[in-house]
Order: sequence, then C-alpha cells, then structure tokens
Amino acid sequence: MKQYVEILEIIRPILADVFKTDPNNIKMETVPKNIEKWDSLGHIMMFAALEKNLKVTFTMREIMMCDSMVCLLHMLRGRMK
Amino acid sequence: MSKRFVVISNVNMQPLARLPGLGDAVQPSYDMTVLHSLDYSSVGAVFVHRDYLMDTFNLPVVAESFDVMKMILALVQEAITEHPSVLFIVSNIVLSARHVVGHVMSNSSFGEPFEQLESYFNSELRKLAMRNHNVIILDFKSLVNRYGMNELCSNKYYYMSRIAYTLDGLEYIRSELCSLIDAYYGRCKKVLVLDLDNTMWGGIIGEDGVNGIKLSNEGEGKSYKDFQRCVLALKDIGILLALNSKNNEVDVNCAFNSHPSMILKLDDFIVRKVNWQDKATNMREISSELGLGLDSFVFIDDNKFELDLVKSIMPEVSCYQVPDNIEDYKDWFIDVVIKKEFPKLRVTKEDEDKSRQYESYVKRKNLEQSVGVKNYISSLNIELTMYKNDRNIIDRIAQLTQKTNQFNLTTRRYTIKDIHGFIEDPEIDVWGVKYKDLYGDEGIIGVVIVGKSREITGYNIDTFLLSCRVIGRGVEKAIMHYLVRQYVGDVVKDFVASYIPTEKNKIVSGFYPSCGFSLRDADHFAGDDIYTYYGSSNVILNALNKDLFESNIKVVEHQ
Repeated sequence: MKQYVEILEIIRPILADVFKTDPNNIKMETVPKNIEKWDSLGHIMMFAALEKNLKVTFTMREIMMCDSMVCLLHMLRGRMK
Repeated sequence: MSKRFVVISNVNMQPLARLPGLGDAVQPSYDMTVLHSLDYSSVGAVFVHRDYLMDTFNLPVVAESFDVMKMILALVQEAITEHPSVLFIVSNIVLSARHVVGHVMSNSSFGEPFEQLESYFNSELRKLAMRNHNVIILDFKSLVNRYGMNELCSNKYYYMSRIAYTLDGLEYIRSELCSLIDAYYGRCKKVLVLDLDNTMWGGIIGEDGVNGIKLSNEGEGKSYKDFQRCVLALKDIGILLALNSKNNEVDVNCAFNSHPSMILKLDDFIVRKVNWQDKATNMREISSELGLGLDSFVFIDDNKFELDLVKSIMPEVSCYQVPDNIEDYKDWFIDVVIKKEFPKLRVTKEDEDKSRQYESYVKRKNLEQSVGVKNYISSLNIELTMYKNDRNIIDRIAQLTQKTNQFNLTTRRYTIKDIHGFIEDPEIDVWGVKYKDLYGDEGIIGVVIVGKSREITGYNIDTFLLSCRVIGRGVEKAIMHYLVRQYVGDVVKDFVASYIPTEKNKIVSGFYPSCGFSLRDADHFAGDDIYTYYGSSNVILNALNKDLFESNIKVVEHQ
C-alpha cells in the first residue's frame, strides 16, 4: 500500500490546479479553511478532478464526510494500488 | 472592461466559472424567472439552460412542465426584446432519458406527451433564434445524443449540490459556448488548404496509382471518403478550398477524374498548387491569388515536417496534422478543426456562392494582366447597386464589418444587432453595395455607414469598407461620388472621415486624400492612431470626376 506522502505527491498538481494555488500550499495538515478556493464548490470540483484523473470513485457520503487532507489521503490509500 | 457572463439554470452551473474561457461566469439563482428581474446593465451574454435530464416525470408533472416551458419561452422572448444589446445563448432540451416505467412509455400512449413536450420547446426555440439576431441555440440535444446521460450526468454531484453534470459534461458545454461565441463574433477562417496523399486518401498516388490508394466504402478507405464529405460540407457554407500538395499534376488529375469513390472534384478547389515547390511558397501564392491574408488560412497535412515548415515561416496559418487513429478522422475534423476554426451560425447568400465568385476573381485577374489596368476596368462594365438601410442584408453587412481587414478605413467590427440599431436610428444610414460585371454577380461587397455629424454641418463617415475581391477597380471612388451626391444635392456640405491604421489596411492610407479630403488631425485614442480628414462636397466631386469618367462604372439605387 502507498504511503500518505507518496499519494500527496500524486494529487498535489491536481489539487493545485483545482484550487488555483501554489502546489506548495497543498500539505499533509491542510484543511479547507487554509485554502481560499476550497469552499463547497471547490470541494466538489476537487473530488470530480480526482475521480477523473485517478480513475477512482467516491460515494456521496464519503465526499460529505471528508473534511481534511488527512481524511482524503486515507480514503485514497484504500483505492490506489 | 469586459462584460459579465450570466448563467441562468435550474441546476448548479457555477463550476463553469472555474473552467477556462468564460471569465467570471455568475449564476444568480436556480429560479428561471430571474431572467425577468436581472440587472442587465453590465451583462454581455446570458446562457439560459433548463435541464430536464435530472427531472423525474409522471403524468401530472408533464402537464405542469408544459406551463413551465411556455413561461421560460415567454421570459426569453421578453428579455431578448428588452435587451437587444445582450447576447442570449439558450440550450435546447432533452427530456429525461431514464423513464420510470420505460416499457409503458415506449409501447403506449403514455409516452406521447413527452415527445410532444420536447419537440414543442425545441421548435419554438428555433423560431425565436431565427427571428432574433441576439439569440443563439446551444445544441444540448446533440451533446446528449453523442455522449449519453451516463457520461454527461452525475447523480452524486446532483444530490450533493445540484451540479447535474460531470466534469466532462461541463467541459463539453463550455467548449460549445466558446465556439458559439466565436461564431457570433464572426471568428471564422476563410480558406481550408489541404494536402493530398494520406490526407485526402490513404497511400501515395504517385506510387500506388489510382487503383492503389485507400478511398472506398469500407475500412480505412471509408474513413477518408467520409472526411471528404465533411470537407465538401464546409465548401457548401462558403469556405474556400485549396490544394497544396507535392505531386505530379497528371497523377492527381487522373485520381480526381477517374476514382469512383472520390467525393471532391478538382473544380471544388479554387486554387490548386500541385507541384514540387516547398509548401510555404505555395501557401503564399494561394494567398496572393485569392487576395486573402494568411491568417484566414487553415492547413491540414499528414506530414509533420511540412506543417512545421509552414508554421515557422507563417505562424498566422492554423496548422493541423492528420490524426494517427484514422478511424476518428471525421470526428476529429468536426470536433477539433471545424469547431475551433470554422464556427458559423448562419449562411448568407454570398457564402453559398463564394467559390464561384472567387473563380471569376481569378479569371478577371488573368484578363487584367493581358490588357492593362485601365482598359481592363472599363471593359468589365461594372454596375453597382446601392442598398440603403435594407433589413434583408443585415447578416451580410455585419459579416463584412467582422471579416474585412484590408480595404477597411476604420476596421470597426459590428454585430448584427449593432447594424440593426444603426438602421433604426434616423440619423444614421447603412449602405450596402452590390457588385456586378461581365463575369458575374459578386453580391454585397461594400459597406458604408454615414451619420449626421455632431461637430460640423455635414456628415461623418463611420465605416467605409470593400471586400478584397473587388479592390483595385475604382469601385470605392464611384461609391464615394454617389454618396456625396446623395447627401448634398446642390448645396455644399462638409464631410468628416477617419482612417485608423492597422497592420493590414495600409492599402487605404491614401484613400481620403485621393478623394479630395485633407488631413485635419492626427490623434491617439484607446491604443489606435486616428487620422481625421475633412472634405467639402464640391472639392470631393471635382477630385473624383476624372477618374470616374475613365472607369465606366455605373451606380444605381436598389429599387
């Protein structure tokens, strides 16, 4: 199974593109309030971009539950080989 | 300052604002009645999109939907009438592809109201677009046909935040919107230049022979044949075709004349450069023979080397390489090339006749070379017909202001609705000029927009342009002479006119002086140099009389 840091490296450019921010702002400890465009629309756009780029899917409940980078990485770890 | 792009939809289209191309799109509400209450003052365009894919239908809902549709159509009608300067892009509709009780819907009369609802809305919408120049339709129905609900829609995002479409779905909608806006503003290229071997057919005619090339009703051959059909469809809407190919002319002629699956004919290509010259030189020759700038050229070839050569020498030409996956040739051409380079909303009469007109252009050029310019012009028996404020030619007038670069004194681009506004204005006249000669009818080739001047007791020439097809025949002077006489009668009046230089209109820098105008002012405004000329009617008419006598051009008013 992949480490969180490895997954973070993979998703960093995708998230930076969605949030129109510097990739260095995407960190392990990031939560929505640290990033301007991680609002409710940004949250959806992030998952849509991840699903499209990584060929993974999340359920509505998972997306609603996710409230931090750590939580996101945790969900991704179970899906990425 | 750029104007706002507003989205009005019952589903959440806010993600459009985070995709490139549409600026800061805003969606004020999910309520379609906002069409009525919106503050339109800083709005440039409105996208009206009523989604029905996510609706769950039963019969009472159908009855209700009918009223809702009527209401939406009435709201759109009201908004377009009250805000003629705003562009409205309205999606046509598809009722849910997912029926609750599908077999019943397809086998019994239960399904009928659905079919009627959809076709009612879409046909009323088409009528609106045909009647109103500030309405265009986004063909959402064809997106659904093409990609299907599964690819376009997302239940998850819909239930979470009313976003009905997937990222891909939103991207298709976004690119449709951009293409429509390009089409509305007339950003359509004029010439498609094509290579032959491995572009128009598979294989190499010089080696494989007429019977060896791939062009047929099956396999790869059919892919090329279908591509040719698409190219022919472009010709029908007024795009000029040209050949630029390294080949022996004899081989090529033989292929076009005798291959049973050849859709395009040699005559479909207005200029044919089939030789062993480099393709950039050929391209330049095509451009000068047609009198059209290279920035209105699109070039398709299979050879990367040739494309790079053309691109590096003439970056203004849009170059495309034939895709490796030849099975998708047609789709690629439609989705990528046509959508980006040849977006068009309406086809004018001139578009339909375009190829034939350029053909006579090329013939006239040959005559000109043989008899000398002056004799040539008077032998043409040119006749101009002047159309004053004629609503029937608004499409063409706007198109000319959008596309004419060379013989254009001010290069002011106007939309159909702008021209409409000028015609309505009692102080402004919009003149269209139709050209006819020995070799044929060129249709409307000139536009002059004249208004009462606010500064002097006389007139202001806002726009004076001629299609490049008729440049160099003295037509401009005949038009000026006619117009000045129209406006002054026997009294001397003053005319004020401007020349705004661009990279392409050097050819007209001396036009006003040659008509007896004199320079009064050189100004710099909003990034442009503006030269202002004054002329009084008697001086202008004197200056023009001699030229006109020699040119033998007849000018009549449209009856």
